[in-house]
Amino acid sequence: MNLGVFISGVVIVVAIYAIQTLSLNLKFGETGLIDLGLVGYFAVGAYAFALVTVPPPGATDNYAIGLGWPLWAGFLIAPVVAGIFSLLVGLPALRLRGDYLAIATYAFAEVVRAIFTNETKLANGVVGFTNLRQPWRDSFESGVRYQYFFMGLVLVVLLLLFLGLKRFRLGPFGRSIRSIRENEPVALSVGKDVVRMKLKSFVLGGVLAGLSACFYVTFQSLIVPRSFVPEMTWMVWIALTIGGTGNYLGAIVGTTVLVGAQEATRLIPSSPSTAPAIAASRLLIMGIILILIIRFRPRGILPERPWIDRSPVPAGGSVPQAVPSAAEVAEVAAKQGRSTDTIVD
Amino acid sequence: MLECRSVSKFFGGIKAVQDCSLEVPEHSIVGLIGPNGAGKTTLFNVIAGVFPPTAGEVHFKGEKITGLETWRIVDRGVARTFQHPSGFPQMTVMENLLVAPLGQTGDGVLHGFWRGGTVRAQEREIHEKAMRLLDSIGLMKYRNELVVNLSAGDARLVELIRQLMLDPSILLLDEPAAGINPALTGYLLALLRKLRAEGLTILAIDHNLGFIMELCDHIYVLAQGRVISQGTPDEVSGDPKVIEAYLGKSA
Repeated sequence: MNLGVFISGVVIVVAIYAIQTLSLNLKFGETGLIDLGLVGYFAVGAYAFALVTVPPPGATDNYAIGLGWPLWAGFLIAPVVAGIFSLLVGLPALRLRGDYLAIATYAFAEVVRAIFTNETKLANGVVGFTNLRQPWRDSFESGVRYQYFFMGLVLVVLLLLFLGLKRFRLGPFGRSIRSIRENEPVALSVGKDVVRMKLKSFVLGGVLAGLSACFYVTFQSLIVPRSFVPEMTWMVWIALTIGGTGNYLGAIVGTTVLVGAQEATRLIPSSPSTAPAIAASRLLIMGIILILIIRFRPRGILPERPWIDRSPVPAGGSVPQAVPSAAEVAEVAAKQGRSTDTIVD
Repeated sequence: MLECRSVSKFFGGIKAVQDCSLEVPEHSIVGLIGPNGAGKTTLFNVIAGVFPPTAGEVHFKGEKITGLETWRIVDRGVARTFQHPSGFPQMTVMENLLVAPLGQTGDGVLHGFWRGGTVRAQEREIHEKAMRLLDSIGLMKYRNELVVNLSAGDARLVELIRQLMLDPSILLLDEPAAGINPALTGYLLALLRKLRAEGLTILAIDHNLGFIMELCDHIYVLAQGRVISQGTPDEVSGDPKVIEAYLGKSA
């Protein structure tokens, strides 16, 4: 096997998953929402992309919708559809807290998979779609070159999302959603419309999952319902835990470590007799990494870092504004029969 | 300014607050005292909109605020502090303050990515205000410290100035002096008076009777969910019913 092809393939898979981990970091790392239905928004995005771009059904086809639109339309529409689906899930589910939210989101994702599996008319059922088109594929003669190009494309998108989210984190909205994570009653007490803000974060997370799904579908060039199993959700959660909850760079690093380690097992020469053991070792690796991280670096490889205000302290230091004068304090303290000695800083 | 009209709150069979009426005039400092379980915090939660009353109404500036969502009540100028000043523990003191101000344009999701002039100007303004408040209570040195690492007294001061960032018309203080050392109590007292002189109205709960008597113009005494006495600090502290509620009946 060509090592360059192998590595670029791993990088693409890592980047696609990393977009999902960024999305989870927004939802859980920043907003504190326990979402166990990640694969659901991903699946909805993936199918939206497929249905927008596959050709209209012919006489022998089973599926009902195929718009046959250009790929760029798929890349625009799929994230929006995933966002709308997130909104529909979020409207009822985000009124629940903690583990109840977790159960509800998990259930929604399972419903999605059941629908795409069983509604043959909708999207070809278990058969799904194969031989899907890939963007700018015709401009490249060899598949290898195209894969390198595709890797570059995904990495650029990942980089832009990373920079955007990092900026996002330091702004007023990022601050507010973190306050909701930290203490919901107090966030309410400073006038935050908590449910609405959670919903915004949730929908934005869904849009990112939908975007990630577009790349997934085009890279695989096929889509079947059995890809969208809960294991995909766990992968993303484990990647974020390894990398560092609340840190976008950590999300990417965690995904790289986890997916990279798993994919590296494919380099082990395998025979039909050892192949099952090697496949099983991927789960083993995931478990071992997770245990080591939780034991030795419980906050992840790159823990969340608080924002540090580096603005200069106004000259003169302390010109108290609302502060009572020493005399006032002394007067009050004297009335209470207490000494003021300890007030002095 | 703030008025509770026959407010009752029952939790199942427990009558936490029964038929309480009280009034907080503008620019006054009103106290709410009573033994443990008297219903003080429950009444606070009803006023702040954490849960609706079983019966009765709360009016603020002549408008009914019962039934409004918590954040809408805050929006109208009613701010409250919490008994446990945990704030936003894993955020810095500065961030705790910056979260608070009302009407932040940047709270919209798109402003997260693109911050125009309005947002930047607002950010500058609230940052200046936070610096001023931190300076005024002498906590500038802790502005980049996580709130979870603060001492109880400092955390309580941060709790207070975080709510001052809201520019409230009335501040509900839930045990502002609890866990604060005596010297700081005197400081807090002077600070609250200063705030009142600047136009703030205050409704305070506290167990520290010395503190509350010193602070307030008018006091309501709650016991077993009912208002059993009210008046100036002197009137209340001489009332046999109050002494009985705190110390039990004399033989």
